[in-house]
Amino acid sequence: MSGMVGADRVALEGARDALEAEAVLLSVRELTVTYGLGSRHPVRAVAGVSLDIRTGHTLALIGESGSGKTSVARAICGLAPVESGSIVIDGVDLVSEPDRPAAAGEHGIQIVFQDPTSSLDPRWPIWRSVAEPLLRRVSDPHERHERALTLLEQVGIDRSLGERHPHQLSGGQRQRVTIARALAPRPRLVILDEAVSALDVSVRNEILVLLDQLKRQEGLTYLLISHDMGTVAQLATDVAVMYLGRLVESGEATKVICDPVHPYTRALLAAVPTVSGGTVELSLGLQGEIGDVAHPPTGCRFHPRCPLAVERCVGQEPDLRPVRDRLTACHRAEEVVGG
Amino acid sequence: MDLLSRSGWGATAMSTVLGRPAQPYRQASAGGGRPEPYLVVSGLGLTLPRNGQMVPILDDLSLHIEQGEVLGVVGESGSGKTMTALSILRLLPRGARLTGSIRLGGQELLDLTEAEMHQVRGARVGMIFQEPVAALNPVFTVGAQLVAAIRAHQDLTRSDARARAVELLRTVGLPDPGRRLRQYPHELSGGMCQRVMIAMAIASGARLLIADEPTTALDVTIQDEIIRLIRRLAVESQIAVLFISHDLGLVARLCHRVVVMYAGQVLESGPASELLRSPLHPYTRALLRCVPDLRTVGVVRRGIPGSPPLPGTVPVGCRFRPRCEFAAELCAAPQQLRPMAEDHHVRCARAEWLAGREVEGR
Repeated sequence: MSGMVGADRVALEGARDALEAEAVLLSVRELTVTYGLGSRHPVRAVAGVSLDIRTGHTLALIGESGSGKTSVARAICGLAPVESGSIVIDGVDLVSEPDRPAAAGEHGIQIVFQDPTSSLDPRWPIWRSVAEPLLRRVSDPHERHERALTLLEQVGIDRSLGERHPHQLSGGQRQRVTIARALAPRPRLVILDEAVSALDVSVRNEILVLLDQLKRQEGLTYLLISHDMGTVAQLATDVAVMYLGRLVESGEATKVICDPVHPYTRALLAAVPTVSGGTVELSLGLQGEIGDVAHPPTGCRFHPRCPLAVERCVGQEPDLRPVRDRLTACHRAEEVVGG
Repeated sequence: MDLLSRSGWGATAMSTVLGRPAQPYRQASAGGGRPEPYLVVSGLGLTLPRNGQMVPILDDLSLHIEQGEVLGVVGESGSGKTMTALSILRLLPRGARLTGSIRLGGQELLDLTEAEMHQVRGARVGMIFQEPVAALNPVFTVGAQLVAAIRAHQDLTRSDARARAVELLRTVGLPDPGRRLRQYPHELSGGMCQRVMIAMAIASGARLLIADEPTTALDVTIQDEIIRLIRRLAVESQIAVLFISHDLGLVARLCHRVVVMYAGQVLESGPASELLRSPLHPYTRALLRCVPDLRTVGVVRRGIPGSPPLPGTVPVGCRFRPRCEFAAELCAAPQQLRPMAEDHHVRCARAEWLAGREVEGR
């Protein structure tokens, strides 16, 4: 963003203000996540990403493996090394806190991971896993037990199953247990890191229905990390698209999904198999694979795969700027919209 | 053969009990001189021993694939999709019992000895799996494994086999094949490893390719490339493809025909376009509801409440009945797979009644 001229910056701030009409719960600015900082081969997984998570909304971060979406989510939870930038909630910058994971928890941030089997203790009855986050909040053990059973009921697990161990449950039930555990400390922001990706389609949709219900009942805000566009289309209200550590497009879900502008977003959505989408020959393919984030291409990081790339895209990195009700980082966005 | 043991061929089935029906499959003659499809499975039954009891896994399973055709087999986990594939290859656990008929290129596979079956696997049937990186041996180069796969069924010199390997990698669209052959699996991406697996599967001229959820672990963009490759191989090389997936959207994109499985039975089968446009079985409709539709954003669709029955606990009558929103009294009787239209079969007593109702959410 540093290379922006004044007029562009004003326009960008204008677009941000429009998006910020509703209250922002968490705000990420110029976030850079670097693994192995100080080593001989540091890997910058996220390079200067700014985004806002609006209260009561569901922001979906999408992109291929290696795009940096999970690193953004983990940085927010204090689980990834932040090189620079800020993550602000309630006026507090989580990056400058001494114990970042604890600070994230105290400000009401919880995370649900992809694999429920490895995130639950196999030796514990499930109620105990759910009650664990309550240890410091609820001193009476009976009340903790009762609260855990109530939480399990809330996610659709009968309280009579509370004594069961994880291996006695199905994958869908186990994921419900991890959701109950995330809800235990009464969070405001729940990060869903591929939380339904490992589940069967039919079970997946049952969990989506539950997440949607819980969001309304508890007034939750979600940050959804998913490579499954079906999940994104159903849950998301806002979408941010990442490619090799950079944000390439962001805006309201209906706009970004139904009418994508950036060539990468277009290619990504075109690759999603839908029943109405026709057979494989008719779809446009994307050439090659996502590159190595340790050695990103010059200019626009998407240019080696982009069907629209011109000389300017090789030499100059495009800034994120407002184009047709959303932000996008593409030199040729106007031509895409016009054509 | 050590190189190949990780790709599953070493895990041969032993002592599978085979039973044959009194009536062999007769579709070839019934079609009025139409040649028999390359793969014809009819009335297949599979029981596996579990805790000292024989548990039925597959029941009255029939399907067929022409050369150059991609058949999609869809269903939830536990519906018997993978067991169908393993039955065709006869790669089953000890004590498994197969009945019915599996004909490959006019030959009855259930009549073959284990040694003869060994020649069928790899030479005539290739298989690819969900985890391409795990299916390759990490301590040998891609080239060593591919050359071993080629020489396992063909009498070629090492250098001829290497030339064939380069040619195969080019066929599967892997750029710079010469360099790839010298690399180890960990140096390749998941998509590239799956291309290598496909190359190995077709290395010996297999006419049937079994693909068991080959793109589940891959990004959508790479998934799209892989299914494009599978479709191209089928059409250009006239390979019959059995494509197993839980994703009806993916099947809609790739397959010519679809078989919907549930609790070890076929509930519906037919041409992909027709089956997806006018599904006849409530289960197919429910699965369709779970497929993403990128034209409607922000609408959470219902899944399918409940879970499929475990083997050995299937209900009498229609097996989907406990989860079916349209279940009625007549569903308590066992259901037969019956024709509703040209090549469109359904196992549902209420199919006619349902056909008049709009498909929800479409």
